[in-house]
Amino acid sequence: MRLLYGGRNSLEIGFVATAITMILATLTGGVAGYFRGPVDSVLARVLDLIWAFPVVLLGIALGTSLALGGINLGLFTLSGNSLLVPAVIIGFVYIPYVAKPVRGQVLALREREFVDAARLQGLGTVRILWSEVLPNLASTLIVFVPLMIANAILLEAGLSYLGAGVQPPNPSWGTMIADGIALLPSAIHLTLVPGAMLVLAVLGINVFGDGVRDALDPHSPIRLGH
Amino acid sequence: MARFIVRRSISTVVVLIAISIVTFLIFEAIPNGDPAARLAGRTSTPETVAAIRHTWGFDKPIYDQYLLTMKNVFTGKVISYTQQVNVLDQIKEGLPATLSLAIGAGIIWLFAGILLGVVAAARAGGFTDRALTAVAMIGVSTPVFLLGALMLYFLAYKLSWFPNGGYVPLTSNPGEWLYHMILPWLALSALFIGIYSRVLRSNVLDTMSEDFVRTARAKGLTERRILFRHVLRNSVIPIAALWGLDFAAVVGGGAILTESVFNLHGVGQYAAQSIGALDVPPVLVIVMFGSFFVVLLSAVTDVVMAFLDPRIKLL
Repeated sequence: MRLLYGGRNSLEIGFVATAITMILATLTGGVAGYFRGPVDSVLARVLDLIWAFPVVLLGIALGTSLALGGINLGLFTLSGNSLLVPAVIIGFVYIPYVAKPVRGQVLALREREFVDAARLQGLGTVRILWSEVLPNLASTLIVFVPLMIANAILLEAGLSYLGAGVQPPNPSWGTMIADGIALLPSAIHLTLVPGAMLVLAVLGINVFGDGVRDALDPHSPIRLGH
Repeated sequence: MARFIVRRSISTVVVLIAISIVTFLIFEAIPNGDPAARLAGRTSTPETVAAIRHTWGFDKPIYDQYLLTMKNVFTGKVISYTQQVNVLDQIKEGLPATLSLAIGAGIIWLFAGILLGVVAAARAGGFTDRALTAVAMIGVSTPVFLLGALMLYFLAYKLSWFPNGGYVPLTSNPGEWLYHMILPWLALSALFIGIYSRVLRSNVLDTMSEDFVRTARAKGLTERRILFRHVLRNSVIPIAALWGLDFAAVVGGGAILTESVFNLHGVGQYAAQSIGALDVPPVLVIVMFGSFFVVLLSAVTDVVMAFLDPRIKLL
């Protein structure tokens, strides 16, 4: 039973984190690529900054500090043991992985004739980005989604293993594997069963993602994260 | 080239300063993480806490604390809050284990990835290709700590073929060092072998459809010669770029999980312990050290790429 609930948490974190990554990365990448100039310089530096942090270290640092304190951003407050904390962290650290390719693509797209045409028609910037640029990014973004979900689930497991992910008493596959490893010589099934679940889930998502990639774009080798 | 080096050096310094500030702020934002209270211990009076706060400078404004810490980092006098030992010494102690792990695993995953990728591409569509794809997928989908723990359980505990974790310095006993490093190397490289063989396979297949391959075939070269002399040389370039970045990430703390599972007492494990204890100075130094490696090796990678492929320009 715990296995099912743990799975629900792991998958939920994977999906929420991916949603956060995709939305923020599309926004920053799109804005940086479209406006170029100083906006681009600032955003590109910020992305480089997140990129230069070792992912696991940044995740653990944020995870430990937020698990103790929770997030208080004025608009919304999360307590430290909320499931959304790891999701927000994971979503955040993966932003550059998606934002950089998006930015590159927008840089190329904004020079295309149909964007010029839209601009000459007097459409606003938001409208151009939303209805002219975004649809052309769709295939790139769709390819990234399964990849990011798989990576997010793996990173959640890693953070939970180090105690910086999902906080007890909430279960997740990561924390269950970590608990199992602690009891290792005596009770191997406590590691094997959640481990197998995790590997099968991630494997399924990866195979699915491979299929999507082949279907949409046979020529793009995409970098997997850690 | 000179311009490239100057530009990259400046941006490296800027990135490092920004990273140190961000790391400092992350830990400063922890509400119940008053370092003075923890330094004083559990049975302390408010007076001792206040005295410690004053001597360590915790009562100063945050930018003063930051400048003081950075001054200590560069003069080599950073002291950790919890154990009160010199951080740089601790890192120096952990560095051999981390480098052994990263270099060994890096070599393994580079060559194994290339080998499996070439084999899969040469047999594209056949049974070998499918089998290798399946293995690569499983490698990519398995968390490294799970793989490491299972290896330890079956190969070290059940079969006693390998030691149960730990690190033996290369200088004290090379044989034991190798014996202790094999499992961590394999566990860490599994993920990367999966990624690299997949990337190389698709690169080789893409290159195969280029014009110069058709020319080579028309000249009557054997398939083997075409594959190794013409196709592989072109397909390996992106792999070299990937390797530089991944290797940097592993040295800079990416091996934290592997080190913890196999109890290697490397830099990553030190970072994990310090983060758990909310000990800011070690984390700050390790994150800066890791980021420095990432930035430095990405610059080196760019230079190597430009050397391997004359079409790439350095900016």
